[in-house]
Parts: sequence; C-alpha cells; structure tokens
Amino acid sequence: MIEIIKSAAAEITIDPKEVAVYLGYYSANGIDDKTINDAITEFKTHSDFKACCVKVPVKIKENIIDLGFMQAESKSLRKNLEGCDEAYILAATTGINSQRLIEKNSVISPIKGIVTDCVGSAAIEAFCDKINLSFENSGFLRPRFSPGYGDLCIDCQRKIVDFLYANKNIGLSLTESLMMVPKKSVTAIIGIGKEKNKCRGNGCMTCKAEKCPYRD
Amino acid sequence: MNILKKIKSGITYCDGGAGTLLQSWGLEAGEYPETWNITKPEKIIEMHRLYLEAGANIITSCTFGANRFKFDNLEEIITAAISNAKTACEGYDAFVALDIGPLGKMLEPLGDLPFEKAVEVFSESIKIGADAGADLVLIETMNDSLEAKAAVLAAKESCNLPVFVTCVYDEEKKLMTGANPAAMIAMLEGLGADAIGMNCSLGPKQMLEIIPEFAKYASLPIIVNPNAGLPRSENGKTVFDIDADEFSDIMCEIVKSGATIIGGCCGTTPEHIRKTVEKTKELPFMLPEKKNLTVVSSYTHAVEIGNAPIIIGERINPTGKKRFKEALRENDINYILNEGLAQNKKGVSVLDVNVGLPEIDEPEMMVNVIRALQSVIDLPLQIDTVDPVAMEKAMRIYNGKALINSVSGKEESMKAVFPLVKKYGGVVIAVTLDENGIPDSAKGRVEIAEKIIARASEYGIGKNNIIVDPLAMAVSSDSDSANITLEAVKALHDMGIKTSLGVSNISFGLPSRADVNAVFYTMAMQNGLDCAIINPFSEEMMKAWHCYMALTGKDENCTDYIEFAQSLEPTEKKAEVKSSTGLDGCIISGLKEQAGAAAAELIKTMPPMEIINTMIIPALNTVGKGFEEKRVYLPQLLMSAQAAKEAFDAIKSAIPAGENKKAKIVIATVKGDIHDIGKNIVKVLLENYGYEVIDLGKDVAPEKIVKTVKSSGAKLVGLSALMTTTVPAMEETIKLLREEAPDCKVMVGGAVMTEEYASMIGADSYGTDAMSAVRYAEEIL
Repeated sequence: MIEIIKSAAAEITIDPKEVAVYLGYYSANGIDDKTINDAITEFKTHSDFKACCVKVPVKIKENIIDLGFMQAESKSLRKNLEGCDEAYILAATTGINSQRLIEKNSVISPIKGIVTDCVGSAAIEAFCDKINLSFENSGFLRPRFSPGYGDLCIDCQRKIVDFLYANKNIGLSLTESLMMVPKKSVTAIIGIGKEKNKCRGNGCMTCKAEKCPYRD
Repeated sequence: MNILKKIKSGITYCDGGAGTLLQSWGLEAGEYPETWNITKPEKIIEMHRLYLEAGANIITSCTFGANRFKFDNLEEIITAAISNAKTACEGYDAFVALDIGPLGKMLEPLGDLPFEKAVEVFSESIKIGADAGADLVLIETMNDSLEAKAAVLAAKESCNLPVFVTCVYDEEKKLMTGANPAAMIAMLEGLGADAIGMNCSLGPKQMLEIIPEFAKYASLPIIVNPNAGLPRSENGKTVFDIDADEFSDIMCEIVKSGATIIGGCCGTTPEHIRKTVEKTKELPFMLPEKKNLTVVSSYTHAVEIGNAPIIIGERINPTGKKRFKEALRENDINYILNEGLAQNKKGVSVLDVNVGLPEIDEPEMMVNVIRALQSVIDLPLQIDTVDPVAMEKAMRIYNGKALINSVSGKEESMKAVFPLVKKYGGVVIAVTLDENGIPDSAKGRVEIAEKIIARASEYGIGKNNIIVDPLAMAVSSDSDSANITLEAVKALHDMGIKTSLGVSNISFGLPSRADVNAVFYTMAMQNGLDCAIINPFSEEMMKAWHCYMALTGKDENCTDYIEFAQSLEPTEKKAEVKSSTGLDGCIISGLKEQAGAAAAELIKTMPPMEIINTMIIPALNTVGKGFEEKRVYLPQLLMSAQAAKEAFDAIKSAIPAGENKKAKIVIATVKGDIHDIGKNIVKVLLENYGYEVIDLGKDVAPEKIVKTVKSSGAKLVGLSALMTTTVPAMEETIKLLREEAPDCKVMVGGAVMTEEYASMIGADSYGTDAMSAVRYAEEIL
C-alpha cells in the first residue's frame, strides 16, 4: 500500500551550513547567517512537506534490477542494491507554494531568489533525511538513489511517479523533459539491506559528474 | 427525465470507489483500470451493477485517466467504457457520467503544459465520450484550479452535456495549488458548471467541515463524494477506516448541511452507498439558494465586493509612465511584476492590469503578464483593455474569476464583451457612457447603467456580476462634476448596484491633486462606493481608506489602521545615506543604497561615462576576479551587481543618448527546461557590464530564439540547460542558429554542461559560471 507522509514545517530542520554549501560557499567563511536564517523561516512557512512511498521486492539478475513495477539496467544501482531483498520507492516534495515563493523572490532580487532556491534544495534533502530515519527499523538502509544517478536512466523517473500516483497523492508531476514540478522534489530508491552495507558516500557521490563543485 | 431535472427534484446518488474495488478483484498495482473496459468488460459491468443495485443514480464510466497522455487507443477505451456503463444501466433510472480525471501534468506557468494543450487533450476525451452517449461529464479529483478550468472549457466547447465538477480539498480546506472553496465556487459557477463540490483525499468527517463554505457561497447543487476515511495496510491488503455504517451516518449530516448529490470515492463500496441511500432518502432536500454575490477570485481566494470598500491598484498601466512603457517595449516582465508585488504589499485587494501600447502586440503581452503575475501574486486581477482579442485571451488563461475593465453602454461594446463574460465568467465594470457620450446628470448615468444591466441579463449575466463606474470627471472644468458623480454613486448604491470609480480623474488640472483625490474618495465611500481604482503608493489615498474603514466600524478594534499608522515613515527627512568608501568601495562591498547615493553625488561633478569607466566597471572587475579565484562567493557577487545597478540607475538619465549602448545579447533557457535561476544570474551580470540583454525566459523554442536574434541583430546568444533531457533542445537551437544566423556566437552553460558536451553540440563557448559569460562577451563583442 502506498503510504502518504506529511510533515509539519516545524519538524524539518534545515541546516544553514547546508544552504551555504548550495550557495557555493565551499568553506564556512563569510556566511551571512541572518540572510540564510530568514530565508529558511520564510521557506518553511510556504512549504507543504509531503511524500509517498511503498515497499517493493528487489530482484537482481546481472545488471538488470527488477523492482516489480519497473526493470532497469544499471551497474550503479546494482552496486547500491546488492544484498537487498526489498527497497522503498519514495517521492517527496516541498509543495507548489514553495515554488511560487522561489519565483516571487527571484523577481524581487536575484540574491533573494538564489538564497531561497538553495534553502529549497536543503529543505527537500532534510525532509528526505527525516523520512529515511523513520524507515530505519526496517533494516539497514542504503543511500538514497535517484533516477539520473550513475548510469541509472532518467526515464525511470516517470515510472516511479506513475507507480506512486505521486501526482494525485502529493501533487508531484513531471514535465516533458522529466523535470519535477514542484522543483524542490525528490524521487528515490532506498534499498533495505539485511546487514550494514559497505557502500560509502551519499547518493550524490555515485554520480558521474566528477567536476561537480559539491563533491568533496 | 434528464439529469439536470433529476438533481433539482431530489437527492441524487453517485456511485462509490472503483479503483479500490477493482484491486480487490485482481487489478494489479500499476495496471490501468481503464484497460479492463476492453479486457474484462464483464467485471466493469458487474461493478456498475452493484452500485446501481445499491441505489446509485449516476454511474461513473471507468475513464478516470483516459486521456491522450496515457492511452493511444483512447477512442476504443472510452467508447467501451461508456458502452459498459450503459449496458449496466439498462433497466435502471440512472445516468452515465463520463469520468474525467486530471491529466497528471502541471499547467504553465508552474509546469510546462500549455493551457490550450490541456483544453485540447480534455476535449478529445470528452468528444469521444459524448459521441458514445454519456449523459453528463463529471470532472473530478481536480487538484489545480487552472486545470479544472481547462477541463470545464473543454467540456463546454466540445459537447452540450451538463458538467459536474468536484475538486480535492485538504485538511486546510484548500486545493493542492492553493484555492479555497470560495475561489473555486466563484470560478466554476462563472464558467457555467451545473453542479460543483468535492471528492477524494478526505473522509466524510472532514468534508462535513467544508460544506458550510459551500453553503455560504454556492448557488449550484453541491456534490460530496468522500473517501471511506483513511487507508491502512492490513495483512498486505489496503483497508479504509470508515465502514458503511459510520459512513452513512455522517452522510446524513452532510445532506443536512446542504449537499444534494452524494456518493463515495476511494475505499467506498456498494455497501457504503446502499446504507447511505437508505438513511438519507427521506431527509429534507435542500437546494442552495441563489446567492447573488459579487465575487472575483484568484488561484487562492475570493474577494467579495460590497461588504466594505476595496482598492484596485492602478499602477500596472503605461499611461503617463515612461519607465513602464520602456518595460513593455523591452518585454521587461520583471519590472511589471515588481509593480504588482509592491502594490500587493500596500494592501490592495485587486490589481488592475493594463498593458496597452500601440507598438506592442497587446494580446500576447496581456497573456504573458497575466500568467507571470499569477505565478507570484495571489491577488485577483482586473483585465483592463479595450481590445476584445486581448480581453478574451486573458480571460481564457486567467486562473480564477476575473474583474473585467470594461464594458460601456455602446451597443458595439456590449456585443463584444458580454459573450466573453458569459463564457468565461467574470465581474465586469460598466462605464456609464454610450453612443451619445457621458450624460451630464446623475439620472442620465443611472439610466445607462440600467440599460447595460438589462442588456447583460439577455446574455444570462446577473446584476451581481456588473459593477457600475459612473465616471469621475475633472472638477476643474465643471464645478458640478463631483456632485453628479457622487449623486450617481448614491443612487446606484440605493438600487443595490455595486459601484467603482477611477478616483483621481476628479482632480485633473488642479494643484495638490492628492489632497483633492483623498477627500473626494472619502466622500464617494460615504455615498456607498464599493471599489476604487487608485494609486496605493499615494499616502493620502491610503490614509483616506484606512481612516474610513476605522471610522465606519469596518476595521475591528482599528487594528489595520493602527498598523498602517505605525508603518508611516516619520515626516522628518530621512538620514542622508553617505558613504565613506567611495562608489567603487560601495560596489565592492555590495552596499546598494550607499552606491546609489554615491553615484548621485558624483554625477554633479563628473561625466556619466567617466563614472562608469573609472569607477563602476573597475569595481565590478575586482569583484568578478575575486569570484573567479573563489575568494568571493556568488551572493556577494550578486550584491555587488545590485549595488552597481543602483549606481547605474542614479546616473542613467545623464547619459547622452547613443552612448554606452553596448552590444545586444539574447539569453534563454532552452525548450523543455523550466529552471532559470542560473540564466537569471548571467543576465544580472551581463547587464551590469552594460550589455543590452534580451531575456526570452525559460522553456523557449529554438524558432523563437532564432527569430529574436535576427530581429535584434544580436551577435551573441547565451543558452542554458539543466538536465541531459534538455541538451538535445540546446543542440537543436544551435543548429538552427547556424543555419539562419551564422555570424552569431553561442555560449552555453548549465548544470549538466561540460566543455566536451558544449563542443559536441557545436557551441562556441562553455561557461562554468556567470563571470565566464561576461568574460566571453567582452572577448568577442
């Protein structure tokens, strides 16, 4: 059964340091705390944190991963899910009102816009982290793996969104080019392992974009 | 009996859940129920029969997701579905509703689905269903007001069947995209729906709490189709927590609160419907009474006119505004949006939108501005135009029920405007002039108002949807003009007709106009004026309004007045902003106000171009260099950019025409891509360096980019793409540019771009960040 999760904004902790990283501060220097904290407060009042998820069986045959509702060929996902019999399929969003806020603030000033946008990125990650925590008694969770990571094709995005009825359940839809609306949304596969995995780094680190500034 | 008679003669019963029932009969997760119409028609017919036996009068065809986006064999599916429903209904006094669910895509401007495309896709399904013999169209489970509007328009334009609409409200009593019941009622009644209400997501208990809102505002029959409470998993099966007994008990309360068309949604079973029919069929049948409210709405809320005077902000209008005209000519939508946001902050209830300028394409601009305003401002809008094409296009895509400015007593005007108001819904401002001009008596103006109202009723438009503007004329040219207008306002008010005035005309030709306007405004409100189109930045006008509200008991405990009074700036001169670090220092430190003040000071002693070349540009270069060397971060770079812009603005008027016009650059986020934050940063910096940036926005077709490059003569194009899925559109754009504008250079950037990628798709340059875009522009232009 698809479970719908809603979180009050007060339950989501957005770390200003995370926001600073998205803003391109690679070190902790020069962060304007007030600007970021104000933006976090404002973003939270415009957010509607909603997610839907369901547990599916995982079958792996060579590089083909069969999740029941979809099959995908991916070495990176295989590496991520190896040893898992089950996985959570997750879609989460900060809601359409938060997107309106980002657009509004971008009109008012480019700085306000970009700070709000980065707060949004940190917010959706924080929300997903919180959901992850609630899954933890299911087993040892693997890092969240999203369509487009590594060699997993971005097309699976549509399969996940359709399978979860994410549009009806949480208002998440895809554009023709598979971008998510609201923009601050995440879809992910989270493997449930029986033992502590050896997987290192978060989902982002498995991405092929080696020149990405967010890499350590 | 047809369905419209049926719903007016007694409680009408819809069926219950389909998806949940079919799942219990073996529908797999991920399998589309619609396909069973063809593969297992006997199951679908059986399901309908169970609901008919339970007492349902409306059988919903199994076509919830039947649209072109999901199915190639659309005609086959819908025809089979209607045929299954009709077969089931044989021998019953029942109607077949063509079920239309949401398309699963977000409409522009939040998503990428164009409004007309949505109308087209809905129309296709509806035509097939109507041809197959459906008795009505049931548009249901709508999460988004604009999508609901597209669906209703599609139904109205492609068949003559009655249209029922139900939307999904959450615990906050709002749709996912923000609309409350009052806003939805205003819009849907305006569009000519036949019954409206709610379904899905909530159980009957929560829906019971929403019905009073419907009972208060709705004039149409109210539909309530709740879920069977909340789902939970039991031994791997989905069960809902409200059984048929409890469900039917609450449905009795729902009928007593005013719903007359009831049924169920997810998790409800034939048993839920059977018990509901049994318990409610003897209850009193109460159709909502006609409300006759004057209401406009946005995508979030409704504004009721007539309770207390409201302000319509007049600043989105080029008349007499040089900067605004410039913004229109340059397609500077951001400038216009800021005018809207600033008025919103001042407390206006509605924004007037007038973008008429002879040299621009008004219909296109009107649509763009309305769409852009509705992506950031939740106020209802007043569509202000004399061009009927612009009016219709704007009314069509407007998300809500708009205020329309205006219709006059001229036959030609009424013929053009009333059919639009009838079709799209809206409240229209009626100005009291006709073929004979403006009467010079209150009586004459009231007579025109009556003529307009009578003519409107021939189109089926009620008096409540007309607001009369009896016209304020300059008191300097006719000393009786204020008296005439006020007398007309009072007479109309006494007749129960709503009124509006463009207040500031009264003072035309006089000194200290704001004072005259404010007193006249107060007098007009005292005579019953409902709406005033005014400049909300005028402190005198806002004082008049706030004081009036407080003095007439319309501002409880004077709360708003006190807040307003405290917000007024002290009249003493503001402390002069002075900078000790010089203009370049201010820019480097990102001090916006100080940079503006320093530039204003410098311009007294230094030629503008010298300020730009010796202070502003070097300062920007210093910051830009720091950014490239990772000593300065993006927010600081942008703050410096804003400071530089402030300085530019302070000296701009002193720059001789023709000087400092650097080359033009066209920038856009490519087709299919809706992320534009990076492109916007590039724009800010390029403008800082004096380039004339033509920003085409996001999701821009290659043809439009090429067309703009050719018409503007730009020698550089900047393209942005976020995802691998949109890089092909970038490649296509470059290809087209090479063919049609071979001497134009192309620079690209965006999250997925790399040097290799850029050269692979044929770009001239790849920029890692905004500064590298500036550097490239400086190198080649």
